[in-house]
Amino acid sequence: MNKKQSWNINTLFLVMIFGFTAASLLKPDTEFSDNENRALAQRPKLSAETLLGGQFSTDYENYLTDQFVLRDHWIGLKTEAERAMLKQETNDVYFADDDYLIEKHTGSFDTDLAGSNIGLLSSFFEKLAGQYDSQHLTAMVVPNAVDILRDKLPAFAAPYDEEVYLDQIRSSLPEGVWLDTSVLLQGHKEEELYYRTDHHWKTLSAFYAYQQWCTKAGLKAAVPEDYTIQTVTEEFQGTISSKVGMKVPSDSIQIYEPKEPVSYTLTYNQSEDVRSSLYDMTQLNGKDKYAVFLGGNYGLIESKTDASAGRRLLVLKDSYAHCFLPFVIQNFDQVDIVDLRYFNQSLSEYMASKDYTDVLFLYNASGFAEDTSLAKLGV
Amino acid sequence: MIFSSLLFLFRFLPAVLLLYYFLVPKPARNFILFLVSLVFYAWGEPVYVLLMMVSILVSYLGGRAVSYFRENGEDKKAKWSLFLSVGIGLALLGVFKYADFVLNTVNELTGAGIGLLGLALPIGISFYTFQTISYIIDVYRGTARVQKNIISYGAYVTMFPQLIAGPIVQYKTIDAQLRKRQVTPELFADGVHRFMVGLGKKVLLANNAGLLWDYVRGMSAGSLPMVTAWMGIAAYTFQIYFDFSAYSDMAIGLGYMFGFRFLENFNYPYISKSITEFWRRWHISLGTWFREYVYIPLGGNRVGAARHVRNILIVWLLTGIWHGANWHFLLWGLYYGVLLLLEKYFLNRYLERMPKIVQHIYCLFFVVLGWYIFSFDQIASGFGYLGSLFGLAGAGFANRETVYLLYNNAILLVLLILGSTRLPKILAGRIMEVLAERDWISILLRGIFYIGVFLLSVAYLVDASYNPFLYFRF
Repeated sequence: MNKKQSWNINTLFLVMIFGFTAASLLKPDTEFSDNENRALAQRPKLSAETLLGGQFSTDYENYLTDQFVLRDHWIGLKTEAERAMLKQETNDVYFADDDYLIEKHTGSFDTDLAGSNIGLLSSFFEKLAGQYDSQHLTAMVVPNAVDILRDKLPAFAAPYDEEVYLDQIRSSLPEGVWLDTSVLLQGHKEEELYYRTDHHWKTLSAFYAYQQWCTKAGLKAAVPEDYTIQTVTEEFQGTISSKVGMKVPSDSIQIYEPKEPVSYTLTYNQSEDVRSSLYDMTQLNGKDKYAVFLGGNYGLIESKTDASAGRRLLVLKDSYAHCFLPFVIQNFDQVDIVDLRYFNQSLSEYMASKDYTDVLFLYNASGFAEDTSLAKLGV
Repeated sequence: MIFSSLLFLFRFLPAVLLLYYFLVPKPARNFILFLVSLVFYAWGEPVYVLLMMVSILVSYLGGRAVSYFRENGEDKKAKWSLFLSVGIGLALLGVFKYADFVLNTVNELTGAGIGLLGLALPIGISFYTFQTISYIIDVYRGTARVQKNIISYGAYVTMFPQLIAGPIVQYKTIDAQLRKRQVTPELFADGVHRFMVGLGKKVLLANNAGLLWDYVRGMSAGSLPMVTAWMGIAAYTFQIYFDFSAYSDMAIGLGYMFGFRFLENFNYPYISKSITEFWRRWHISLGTWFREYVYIPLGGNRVGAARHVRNILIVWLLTGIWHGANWHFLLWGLYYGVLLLLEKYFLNRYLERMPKIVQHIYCLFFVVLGWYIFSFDQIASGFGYLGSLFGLAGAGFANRETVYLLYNNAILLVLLILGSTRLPKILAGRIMEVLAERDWISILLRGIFYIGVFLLSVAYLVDASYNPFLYFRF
């Protein structure tokens, strides 16, 4: 390189180094990433202890990475680069057919936790089996998109087979408790069962599962004609598209309004927060539009309805249940919805204080395998 | 702190450039280098930085004493100063790196149950200890000038570009530059070039190869199809080369930016036609060190065959154990010692008559197998993996997953293979030669390349899921 070329290259280098340095210093810190739906690392406190222990340097580097200027764009750029290299996945997400982004859930199912969760669930239902008829006890662990939509995965992809894990759960439960959704959903796999950009199942899938459950639980059979299906948004970019920083065509969210609705009141977390709808339409203005169902994650939602059905239901659930519950609430006089991840009371004491006729356990497969709060089932 | 991090690129490096070039006067430049290098080290090792300063002080005083006694013709005292200061350096290395390994071995052999020290290994101790030793010995031999200024000496030992992952810079090669150096725009631009090449090699190539290796080695190793097992170990072969040589590239590039010219450390090792040639091209500064300070003093090859064999084995057992206090590193060193002896006394005659391609395949086969030994303890089932490599696992030749991994990584593997050869360098060299006089086209092409590498690297660093430092055991 001659002098002129060198000067230009050096200038370019310095502009890049100092430019991004200045930009990253000037950018105000953000507390929360809407896009990634998580709290970002904040500037760590400096003390002799954290400095000498090495904690400060680790924390500071996490802070720098989380708060780096144009963070979302960098992640998007990386995903584009991976695609250009013909990679069929990035960050454990498959680029599947028909613009589906499908999480792989590598390593979710072969952990000790995944194994012990099965034990916790089965001893919970063993205990209940003495008090309840199996018609009134239901455990549903719903397979994830990677299982049901395997035809859409890149050629030769070989993710973990969730059916192996679901079979283990099924065989550990008392007779008649398990409700199989795998075969059911596979029968409909050409329909839109899962969001393309989010890790949840769509309301349509929940409806199919509900139909099946009605049969099992001896409830009045439901048909699509009982509902007005309403699309509340077509602009939904869910958690997976954020994770890979890539925009794919947006999803739509449907809600099923019963044509002959039963009215109800909801009490959130035993507080003053009393509502009359399971839908929180204001959430549609935010990033996480799936929170239109129930308004997000709450430890306890108790409901009273005018159904006069003579049955009272306890639901133990993760967020897969959120679009399922609007169907269910029409069939019971009382539905109490417990999310063990956020529920800080003793479950057995809580149950003893109520007089349930039915118990429903509803999780998604990877969520169930990774959940660290299921020990609360025994407390 | 590692070069391929946002912290280095957007906090440390700009701060150092500002300080070095704009904020402090020229005579204080060695002092600034010393100071920022201590910060660089202390960032990851806030306590062990003191150990490094002890090492610096001891070898500085050792060098002074050796040179003082030599000048006064007191050779015996010079020798004792040499032994003492080198001995302290080796003792520190021994305690912090090898003590638990030795104690463990003693415990296992005798059942003695001696308590372990449980000391964490100070990063880079093997690199800087070897540098201080070479300095004292060279002063004794009269091949290096003594450095009387402890700041300049400290700057040499701690200099952040080469501190934690080499190259092992011998004092005599940069003595003149420590006293007086000039950075021209051309040298700085060469530095930018080397740094960018290194950054891209590390973040874009090595890390991605490492992801493939991590995936394969995490699978149940005893039941891998043959092709998957080979793809995995090939990925590791590429990862360690691109990672390690990238550190050297970045070190050399940063050296240029501050006026230092370190010697090359890698020279396309995977295009070698024999193991002997491979070790002339791989981690050159380490090979040179062992040759100058162990092999030749032992008599090298100018002795009878039996002693030559002994010398080779000593050097290679030491080379092996230098890479980490563990049996498989010792075995790895022995493996190369034996291969080198075989070549010297037997194989070379036949190899040289073979077609070149056979020589390349022979060399690569043993190098890759060597990396298997080297990474033995990282593999979920070490021996099972060997079985998979040779089709003894009963998992056949390939399966669905093999095909998936192959086509997902096809472009990456092609880039890695090409990048291991001289081809990119020759090609870029030709283009630049043709365009030498066409300033703006040159600048444009280079600019696009550097911006591309830089932006992509930053993107991979921001999405920091995988960015390992492989030399924490050296």
